[in-house]
Amino acid sequence: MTSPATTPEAVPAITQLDGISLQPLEPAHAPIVASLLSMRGHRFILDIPSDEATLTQLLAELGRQTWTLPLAAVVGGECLGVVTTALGNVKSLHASITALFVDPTTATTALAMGIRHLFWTFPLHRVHAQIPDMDLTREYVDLLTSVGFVDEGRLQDHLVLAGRSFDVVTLGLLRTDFEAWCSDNEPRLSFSV
Amino acid sequence: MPFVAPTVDGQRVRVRPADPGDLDDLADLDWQRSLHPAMGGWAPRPAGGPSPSTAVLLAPSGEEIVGAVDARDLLGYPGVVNVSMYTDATAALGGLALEGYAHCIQSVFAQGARIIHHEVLALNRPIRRLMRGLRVEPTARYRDHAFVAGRLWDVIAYSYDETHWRSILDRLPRSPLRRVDSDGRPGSANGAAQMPPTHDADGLDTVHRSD
Repeated sequence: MTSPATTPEAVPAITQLDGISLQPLEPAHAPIVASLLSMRGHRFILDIPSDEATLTQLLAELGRQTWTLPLAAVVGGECLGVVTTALGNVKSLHASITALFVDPTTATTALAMGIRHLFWTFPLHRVHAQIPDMDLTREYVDLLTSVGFVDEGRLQDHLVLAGRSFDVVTLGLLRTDFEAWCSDNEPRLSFSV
Repeated sequence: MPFVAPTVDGQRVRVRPADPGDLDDLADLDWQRSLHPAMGGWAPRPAGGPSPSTAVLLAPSGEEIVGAVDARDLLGYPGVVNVSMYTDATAALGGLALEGYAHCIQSVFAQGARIIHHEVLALNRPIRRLMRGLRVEPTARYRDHAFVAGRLWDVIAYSYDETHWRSILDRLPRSPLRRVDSDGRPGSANGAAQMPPTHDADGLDTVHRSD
C-alpha cells in the first residue's frame, strides 16, 4: 500500500510589502520611464530613445516578449523605480534584468520584491545584468549585489562613450542565490513554505 | 555593422563568404556541430539563407565545406564582434582551422571591429587551453548560463583588441595563425606551411546569442 501523494503548497505572490506596491508597467507609463531615464547614470545602463512615443511602443513590445514582465515599484502613488526582464532564453532558462530607481541606494527591498515576483512568475533559473563600470553607475552594481547578485567578471573595453573605453560588470543571480539571500535577509520573500 | 567574410586562398585553407548554394553543406555542418557537446547545441541559421558574414572554410584542394566562422555584432556593444567557429575535426587538418580563424579575425579588424569577443562553454577544455596559449585570459564566467548536453554549464567570456591580436601573431611565428599578413592575405616567408600545427581548433566559441 502506497502512502497518499503529498500536494505541494503554493507560495503566494507578494506584491505588497512595507508600503511598497508592485504594479505592471504599461505603455501608458512611458512618461515615468522617460523621467527615470533622464536621472543619474541611467542612460548608460539603458540606451534607448527617451521620447514618450517611442517609449510607449517599446513598452508595448517589451510586454509581449518571452518571460518579460515590466514592473513598477510604487509607494504612496510615487514611482520608486522599474524592474523588468528581457531577452528571455527558454532553452537555458535565463533572462537579462534591468532595474532603474529614483534612488538606488534605498531600493534593495523594492528590487528584491521585483526579482521575487519574476522568479515566482517564470521558470527562470537565472537572471543577469551588465552594468558599465563607471562612477555614475557603480551604485547599480552595489544595488544588485545587495540582493544577492554575484559579480561574475568584466567585459573589457566593451563600451565606448565620448571616445573613452569602459569595462562592463557582469552580474548573475541564480534562483538558489536569491533563495539563500531571502533566507538570510528577507524571509518574507522566501519561496520556502 | 554587418561584416562580410573574407575571400582568401590561404596556404592550408580557402575562406569565402557563405552563399545560398552552401545551404545544404552548412546544414550538415551545423548538425554535426549541434551534436558536439562543447558547441552549444542547435542554432538555426536565418531562414533567408546563409549570411555573407558567415565564412565557410574549405581545404585548398577540396570543395567540401569543413568549417564555418560567424562574426556578429555583440548586442548593445558597437564595435564588439562575437566570433564563433566550428570545424569538422576529421576533415580540417594541418592547421586549417587556425589559419581560417586568423583570416577571419584579420578581416573583422580590417572592417572596423574594436574587440573580438568569444563565449566558450566551461566544458570546452581544448579551446580554453588554446586561449591560454594565446594569452587571452577569461574576463567573466557566467554561471549556469547555457543548457547543453543535458544540463546547465558555465560560460566563459574572452575578448581581445587588435593590439593583442598583433602581439599573438608576433609571439607565435610558427603557428598557422601567422599565415596572414596585415591585409588579410596569406602570409609569406614565415615558413609556416612547413611547420606542424601547434593547435587545431575544432570549436571556438560555443554559445549562440539567440539560444
